[in-house]
Amino acid sequence: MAECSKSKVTVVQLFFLSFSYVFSGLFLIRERSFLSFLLPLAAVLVFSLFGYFFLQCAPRTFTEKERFLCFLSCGKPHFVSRLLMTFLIFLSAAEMILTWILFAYSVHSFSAFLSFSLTAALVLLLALFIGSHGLTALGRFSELSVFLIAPLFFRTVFCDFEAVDFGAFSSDLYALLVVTPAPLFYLFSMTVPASTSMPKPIKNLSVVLICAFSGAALAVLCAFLFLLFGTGERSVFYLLFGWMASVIRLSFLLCVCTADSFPSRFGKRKRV
Amino acid sequence: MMDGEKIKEKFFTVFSDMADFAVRELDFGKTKLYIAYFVGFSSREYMNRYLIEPISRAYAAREAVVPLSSLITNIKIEKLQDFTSAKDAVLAGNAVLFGDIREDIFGISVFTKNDTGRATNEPDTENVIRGPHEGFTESGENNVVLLRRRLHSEKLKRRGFTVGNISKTDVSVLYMEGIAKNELVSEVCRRISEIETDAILDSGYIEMFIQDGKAPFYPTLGNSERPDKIAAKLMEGRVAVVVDGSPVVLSAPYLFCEAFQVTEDYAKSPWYATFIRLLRCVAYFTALYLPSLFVALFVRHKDVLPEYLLSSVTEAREKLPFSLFWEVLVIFLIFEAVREVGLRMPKAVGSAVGLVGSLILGDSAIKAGITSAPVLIVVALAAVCNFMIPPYMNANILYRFFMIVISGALGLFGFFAAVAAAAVMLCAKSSFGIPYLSPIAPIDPCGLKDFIYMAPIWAMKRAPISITGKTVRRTNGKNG
Repeated sequence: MAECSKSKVTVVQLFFLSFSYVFSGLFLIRERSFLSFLLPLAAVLVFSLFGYFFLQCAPRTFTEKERFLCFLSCGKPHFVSRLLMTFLIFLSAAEMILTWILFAYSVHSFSAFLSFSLTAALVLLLALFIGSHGLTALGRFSELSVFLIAPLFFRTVFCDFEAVDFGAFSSDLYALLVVTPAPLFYLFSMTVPASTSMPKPIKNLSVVLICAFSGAALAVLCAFLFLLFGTGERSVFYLLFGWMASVIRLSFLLCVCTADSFPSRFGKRKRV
Repeated sequence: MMDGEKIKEKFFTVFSDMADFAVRELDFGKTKLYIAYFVGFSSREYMNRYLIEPISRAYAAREAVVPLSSLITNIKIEKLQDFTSAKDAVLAGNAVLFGDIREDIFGISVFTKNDTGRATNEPDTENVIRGPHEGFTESGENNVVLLRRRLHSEKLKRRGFTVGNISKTDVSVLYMEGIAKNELVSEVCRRISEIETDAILDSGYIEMFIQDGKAPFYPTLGNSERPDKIAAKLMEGRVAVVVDGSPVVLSAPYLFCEAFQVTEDYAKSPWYATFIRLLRCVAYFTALYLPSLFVALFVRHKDVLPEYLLSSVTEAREKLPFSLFWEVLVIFLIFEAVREVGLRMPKAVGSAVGLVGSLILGDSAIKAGITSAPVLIVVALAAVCNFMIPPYMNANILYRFFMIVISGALGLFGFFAAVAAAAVMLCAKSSFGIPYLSPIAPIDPCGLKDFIYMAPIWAMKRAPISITGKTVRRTNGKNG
């Protein structure tokens, strides 16, 4: 049986990766519809249930859950698992291209002096550079996003509150696609939480992971409300925060899409 | 065993053209002894007191029936088995006794090294107002003693290495057993033992050999001349490397957050220490990002700036011939040149040059219409803030130039991309297996009590788990 992927993402990093992933989805589509706030929650519920059953029920044919997770990711899985993984990776690839285009558009709309093609190339280069350092480095990078909250908070304190338009209900399916956390489930299967980083041993892996993901989605809702009411879209800090979340999302999708195509690449790279 | 005369001839052959090498003969009739030493390197007083006087007295009183090694009144002697070890002992500053020793050994090495090193003064680069005023010296033995004086424990272990084919420098690795990770200690020792070089003249040489990466931008090994600082690092599970001949002791691993910590913080009120650390953090980001953000916004994104700020800077730059980007770049280069001159010149000249460069040149440049006051303020503020974080001073200068160029070319996105790329590189970096950005990424609650926010000493109940790898209790909290 193939060995486990050596990517180590702690539960805290999983929280921040999920947060950045979902937040950037809302940031990129720039929807202020009421549904945009509910969509992350809906996605969380659907995939939490799915993930819970998948992780709890499927491994009954195996003696150890971790062996099953490794088997799913790195070996030659069962036909159903392979079908599922293929679907998830296809979805991730579609999201990756969409994220790339939307992110480039977001940058281009702010930096009109740069051509769109140049912007797209720079965005891709940046995501490739970040993604090439591995999921572990990306997870740590996502933890740094909390330090951007401080200047945002200070900025908001001296800002007037802005009204939010709840009237628009367009592009719901589009929005659902953008915020769908399909690749995050893939992350579940590749995550081996380091036990040394937790003060108490993890008793139920799937419950902890789902709690982290659910907490991240709820945090996105709070952050989105806080930022939109407090800073407005024209704030530079909001823009930088949105770009940071977007580049994490794009880099993560790159990692997901390349993991199965070039599995030896992660093995040969110096482990963080 | 070889005849004394033949050994003496061999010494003079090996140490030919070395006018400071000498051999003293002691002829007691039937017994002839020789003492090989380097003039000046071996102390005449020690040789007289430990070697010549007791031996001469013993032979005069015909009490030479006991082994010669017992007559030597020096606590540190070593019995030598061959010429090579005798030669190395002489080169290390010891006096080697050979000849009619009447023991089945080649010779006896006696510690007579002339220890004329300087006193343990406070290091110039790490002054404190409150705290010990001792510093390490060039003597490795003395430096280890300074640490043992602070940590009276059998758990303070020391492993010795000899590095350098010609210099044969003594290198010691110190750690606290039970606190430091075994893997960390083994890794440090392994890297030191694998060094292949001719000479180690300073701890900086060792640092170049054992650090992570070929030429890292940010250091992965700490260094200090203060014994109290190194002792504190040992108690946190770090490993210290003492190099004979260097007053700078290395510590491993070295993490990003250590640049914001100063020994004096632990002697102050935690509130004030937290405030000062926050100030250092703000200074760090100001030094790195203020000039490039200034360039990005004023060159490419004027529409996001408040009207009053934009008009103020625009008015100040109205008649200037250069673009803002080139103005910032050139002023920075001039500042770095003036700073470098101030460092290299003798103190009297250096301070005069600094005064001329900063006050006269700056003021004259504004009046001549070559530069503007806002640019000078930004550059000066960034440069001054850079001095608050000495370990990253040089790396920040290079990174800042790169940031200015990128921001000028690509605007705010270029600024963001450079920041993100650097942040990810730091996230991926490790120092002896420990994540470089610990305790912020990955988050370590124990370590966060001593990063920006400084908890009182009694509240730091555990050593940082990212370094020790296990829970190490340090204090039970405060009673009363």
